[in-house]
Amino acid sequence: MYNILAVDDDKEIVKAIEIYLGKENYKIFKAYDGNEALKILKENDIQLVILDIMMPNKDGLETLEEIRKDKKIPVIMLSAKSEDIDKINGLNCGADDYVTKPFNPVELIARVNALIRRYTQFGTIQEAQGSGIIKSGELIINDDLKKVTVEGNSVKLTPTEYNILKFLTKNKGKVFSIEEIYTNVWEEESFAAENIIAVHIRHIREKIEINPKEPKYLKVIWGVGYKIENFEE
Amino acid sequence: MRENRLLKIICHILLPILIVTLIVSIIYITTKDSIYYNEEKYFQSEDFVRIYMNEIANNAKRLVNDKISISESIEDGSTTIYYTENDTVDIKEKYFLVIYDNKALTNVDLTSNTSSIQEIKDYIGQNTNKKYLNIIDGQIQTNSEIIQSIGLRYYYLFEKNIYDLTTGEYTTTSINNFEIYSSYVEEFDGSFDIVAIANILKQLEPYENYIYTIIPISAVFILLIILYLIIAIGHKKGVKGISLNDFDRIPLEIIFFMYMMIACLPIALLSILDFTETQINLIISVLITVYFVFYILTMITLHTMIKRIKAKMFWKTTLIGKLCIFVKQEYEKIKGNIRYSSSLKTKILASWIVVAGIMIFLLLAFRISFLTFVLSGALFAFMVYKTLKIGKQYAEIENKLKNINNGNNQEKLNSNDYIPEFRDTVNYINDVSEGIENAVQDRMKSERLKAELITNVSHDIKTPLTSIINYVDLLKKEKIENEKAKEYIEILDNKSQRLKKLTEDLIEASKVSTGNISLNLEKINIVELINQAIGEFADKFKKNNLDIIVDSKEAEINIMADSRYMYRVIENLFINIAKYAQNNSRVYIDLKVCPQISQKEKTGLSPNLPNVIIEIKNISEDRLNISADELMQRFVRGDKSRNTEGSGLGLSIAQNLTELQNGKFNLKLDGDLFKVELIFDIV
Repeated sequence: MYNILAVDDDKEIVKAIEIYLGKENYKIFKAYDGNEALKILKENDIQLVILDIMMPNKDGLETLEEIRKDKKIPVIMLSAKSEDIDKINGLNCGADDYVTKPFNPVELIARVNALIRRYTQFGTIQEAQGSGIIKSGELIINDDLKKVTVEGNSVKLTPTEYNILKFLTKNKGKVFSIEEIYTNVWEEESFAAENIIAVHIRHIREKIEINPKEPKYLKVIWGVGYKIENFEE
Repeated sequence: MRENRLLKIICHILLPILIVTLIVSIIYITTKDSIYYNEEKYFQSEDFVRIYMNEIANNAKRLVNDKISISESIEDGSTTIYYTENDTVDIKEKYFLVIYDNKALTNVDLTSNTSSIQEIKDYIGQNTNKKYLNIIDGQIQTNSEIIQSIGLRYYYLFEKNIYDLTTGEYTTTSINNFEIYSSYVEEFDGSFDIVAIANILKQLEPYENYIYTIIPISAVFILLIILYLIIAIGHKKGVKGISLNDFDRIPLEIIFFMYMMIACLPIALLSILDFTETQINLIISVLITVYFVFYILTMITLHTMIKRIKAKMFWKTTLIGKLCIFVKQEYEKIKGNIRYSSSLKTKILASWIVVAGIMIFLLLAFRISFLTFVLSGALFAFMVYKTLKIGKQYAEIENKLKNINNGNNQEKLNSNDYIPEFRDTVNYINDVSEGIENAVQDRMKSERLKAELITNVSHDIKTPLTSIINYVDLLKKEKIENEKAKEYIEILDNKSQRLKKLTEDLIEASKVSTGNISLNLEKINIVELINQAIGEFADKFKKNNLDIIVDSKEAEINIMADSRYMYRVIENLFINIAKYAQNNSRVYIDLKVCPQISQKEKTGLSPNLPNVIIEIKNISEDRLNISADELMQRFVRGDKSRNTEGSGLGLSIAQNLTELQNGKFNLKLDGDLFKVELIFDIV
């Protein structure tokens, strides 16, 4: 049973979060402004914070700074501000994730789960090293078992999808065009394969990413190609 | 006029020959009857007598005056015989002996046979073929009829007062004081000008009858050929108009100078050569050479001149013309600059007049001296500097106005840097510039405020919307038996999702239309991007049974765009297709590389780069009873599709994003055909 602190000046939103995460067996602490949140954090053992930005008294970013002074717990920013610059600001201030309002409850739950897993199982990732293991961040491909896990969840892929993902992960950080992927995975010249590869990539993304529209691992570089983000550097 | 090379060559060969024929014929006819070129007539003419008598008289005077450059002299009794060289060689075997007092002058060589007066007399009168003229005691003895009849008239030549330089006395001579013996052969001797021509003319005599017909014929032919050449000059086969070559661009003065330089050579040659009768062949060949050199030089010069005249370049290819044009241009420039202020114009003119006055004064006061030169040079330089400075300042002001016009409104002009006449203008310009700057700033501020307002309102909408969406979602998960309630919840779900999309689109549209986004333009392959996008949409297209047909000749077409926003453009268009295209129809995506597109289409694009046209065509499910312009307006959609999801901002966003990325977005509706054209520069 993990403790999660939800902070938002809109009581209904906090309540909705409580309902959703309660179903996932989390204990929810509620706060309606920054000061309240800091107080609860001091008094309780909290594993994760969901933090709104626009709040009275002390806003989300200030609160985040306060939290980061002595705590390393994961923080998800939850805000109506959806500009790139807002996301960048939030992440730079020390947030681990950024979810925009109105949010998709399923996505929020997935992100909370991923961060809790990472926070509580920190240090165990190294054990996954071994022969036939290809990985980037928490995307781990066990080539011996032909098994793919993302942030602890195992993912089911078709053989083609598996080959594409394996190829991209092996060469993580590098951008490949559709044609390059085709020739490397099929080991022959591409012939009208353009859309097939793109479709496969989308399917892979839908399977391994929490939000396929904002992928974390399998990035689309529009007009250039695709790559697996390199987290090792 | 078509070029006929052969005819031209024939003309160029015939022309010099015809000209020389004409010249010789005319010379022949005009000189035939001239006594100077006809021995027979010359020796029967009064001119001959005059010249002959004059020459003897001159020698007589020299003798009297002791003005003989003594080369040789001998004594014969009491008489001194002086020898002089024959100074004129017009006439063959012309000898004389003049005796005055106890002096004698002769041109007969002094040899052993001619060492006394008597021997010389004999030598002169020796030959029976000769004409002789002896004047003794004023009596003429001659076998020449003409001298016999008119020789007396020239006695006055001998009767003169001659001033003796050495004694300072006047000596009066009379024909009676002289004893003169002379003889000559009635033939020309080898002097060039008369004899050579006379000899040539003599050779032409047998053809005299032809010459009269040759003159008009050759004249006509020459005229015709010249006329033809004038018309034909400058025209080249397959080339319209007059074609000038590099030679035709050399300033005419230089060509004239070269002409004269080269022409000097044959003239020098003519003066160096000593022509005598025996060299007649040499004379003719030299004459012909000289003639051809002149002819070719003249032809080249005339040829280029005619060409220039025909090309209307004559004036422009002369140095004087160029100078005049330059001066005129400079004058226009200065005039253009001065035009700005009429009072300034008057001032400048007045200053120059004063300067000119000072220069004239200096010239009068100090004449052409170093001081005049230095002073007027300095004054002139100063005036030129001032005038140029005014022109430069005017140009700066003009440039500033141009910058304002182009929206580049940064620096201000410092009015103190300008001459007083310009200061007011500079201040006005600064004020106007500031006004424009402020207006632009205000407008940008209000645009930004508008965008901010939309964004803020959207944020405020988003928070309650979050609750609505979440609680509707929670409601959906509740066990509700009532079917109607379930239906209502479904409607709430749809509408709340649509509201979410609407607010998101609204923010984006307001940002995009005010250009309030930062673009990261880089080189991207548009073909790859479209294939990636098709991959993203494959399922949606498949659901509606849409067949996507991509046609691109190239696998790589690179454009400068922000990859994310470029995808947004394609995404919006694809969303449109997925929503509004007729089910079971085909969608065509053509990528065409166009090196040249019409000027109208080109506006807004780079003028030099080739373009790619991305054409996306589909058949609309519903009738498009709306114009393309209306469709592009925000919140406007094809009438019937009002009820489906979407904000109606998609096309507008796509258009604005395309334009922000320096592309062109054309929407064309033709019946049910919905066609979007994206045009970008290829890099």
